[in-house]
Amino acid sequence: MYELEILLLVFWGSLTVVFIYNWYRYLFRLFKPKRKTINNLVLGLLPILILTINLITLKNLASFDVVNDGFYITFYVFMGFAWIYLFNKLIFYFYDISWIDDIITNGNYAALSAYVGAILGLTLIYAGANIGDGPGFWCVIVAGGIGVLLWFVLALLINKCTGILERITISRDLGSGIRFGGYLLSTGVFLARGSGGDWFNFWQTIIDFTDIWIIVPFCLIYLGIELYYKKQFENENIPTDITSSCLWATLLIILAISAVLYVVPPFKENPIYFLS
Amino acid sequence: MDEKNTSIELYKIWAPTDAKWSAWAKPAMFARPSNRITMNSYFYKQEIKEITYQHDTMIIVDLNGEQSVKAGIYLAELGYRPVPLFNGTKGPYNNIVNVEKLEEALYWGAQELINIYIRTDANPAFLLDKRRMKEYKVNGAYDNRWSIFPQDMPSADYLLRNHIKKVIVVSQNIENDLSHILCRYQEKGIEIYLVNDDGINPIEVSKPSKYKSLRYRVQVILGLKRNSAGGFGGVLPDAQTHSSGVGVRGIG
Repeated sequence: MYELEILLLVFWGSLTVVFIYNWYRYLFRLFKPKRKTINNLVLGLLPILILTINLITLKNLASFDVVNDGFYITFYVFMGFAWIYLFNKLIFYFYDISWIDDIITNGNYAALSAYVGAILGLTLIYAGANIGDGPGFWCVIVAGGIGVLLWFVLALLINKCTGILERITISRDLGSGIRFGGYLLSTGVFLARGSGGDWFNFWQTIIDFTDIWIIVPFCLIYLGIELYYKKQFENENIPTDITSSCLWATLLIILAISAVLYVVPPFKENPIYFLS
Repeated sequence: MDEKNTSIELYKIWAPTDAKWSAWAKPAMFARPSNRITMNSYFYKQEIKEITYQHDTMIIVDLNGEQSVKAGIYLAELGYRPVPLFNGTKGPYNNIVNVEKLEEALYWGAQELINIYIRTDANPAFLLDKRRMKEYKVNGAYDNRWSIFPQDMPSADYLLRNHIKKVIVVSQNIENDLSHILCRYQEKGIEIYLVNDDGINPIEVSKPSKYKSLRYRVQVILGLKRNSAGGFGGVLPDAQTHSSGVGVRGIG
């Protein structure tokens, strides 16, 4: 097993180098006479934020054999960047939000807001999957993978009902971007909790996701909010209000954190790991 | 003045910071320093008799390369703000879309624009190169083909908010990529007109395949080569010369 992990460390490490290199190369090399410095600053800080979230989780909440082991911390940090590298491409594929075209080239602030929420949501799901004890790295991939799958499906259903993604990338409606970014981040909080906890087996992992059943009414509330704004946007043909959108996004994030802390039951512990 | 600043200066003439529609201008064709451009052609503005300045009208010029720029300068004299949307770059050799004359025309156009007064809120005339997706891939060539997407032009809501109710397309026909944009305009009640050899006529744009599909843009971009300086352009791999192909791969 250890040999496989060394091989994977090299693999994740290579993907991390490609990700970081391409990320900052675009930020610095792209010919940008429009000078959207906020976009560049936020995108420049994102990898640092991803690293910080993952490091804090790995040092404090990860499996007992990871928290104090430099090799495993490096392994999972690299895996975290590889995770973002892969799902960043899927954000473009499924959500049609391109960090190169929409954010850097077109300077679309709405896309920036949604994209930051998406990347942080994905990072939280990965960090959540690292919480608790488990027999190997594949537990993180399985639990986190289910979390990300649900995250994509829920957001696409929301888009099907509201057409929010078109308002973000084509209409460049900042309010929509802020609200959707808040939604993606807050569902990331729920699914981080769903992906976390000690590993039992595959079916138990699926069953554990029912602990976060509250994500369903949460999504319905968000759907109601978004339908209201959609109606306003289409009937009055004015950009949606930024202040109220910021308030809604903040409220969604607070609601998600509160629900995970006070409504969702605590992680189930697998007694097998006490013996280790 | 360094080379980067000469490019930015040229771009700023075409897309002044205070002009309303500059946010949509594409800088890719301006990335090459303007002091490296040598003028080998003589340019003159191209008249489009069917068009006059109207407060509720936006123009899209979709002609071959430099012809778009020449028409853009004519429209600027009428009072429209020409907005270049050319998103392909010039490669070192064997360009699939030859943009040499287009680059020269943009340089010429900038010199003309300095002497033309255009209001900052003037209605836009978006300039496209009709050859953007016409040519085919050739191994070892510099693939600078590009496409226009709904994200690259103002939304129908934005146009209506700015009292634009009519879009005139100057072109022989409507290209598939442009129809994705025009269909969205049409759905919101904006009238579409086509100017070609038959004069100016209202048209009904039919829905293209993958219309409003979230996967449309990504699928088109996968067939193109991004350039790391912006826009599109990169050398295609050639098995005979063992060129791996310089350019940025992937999506995102």
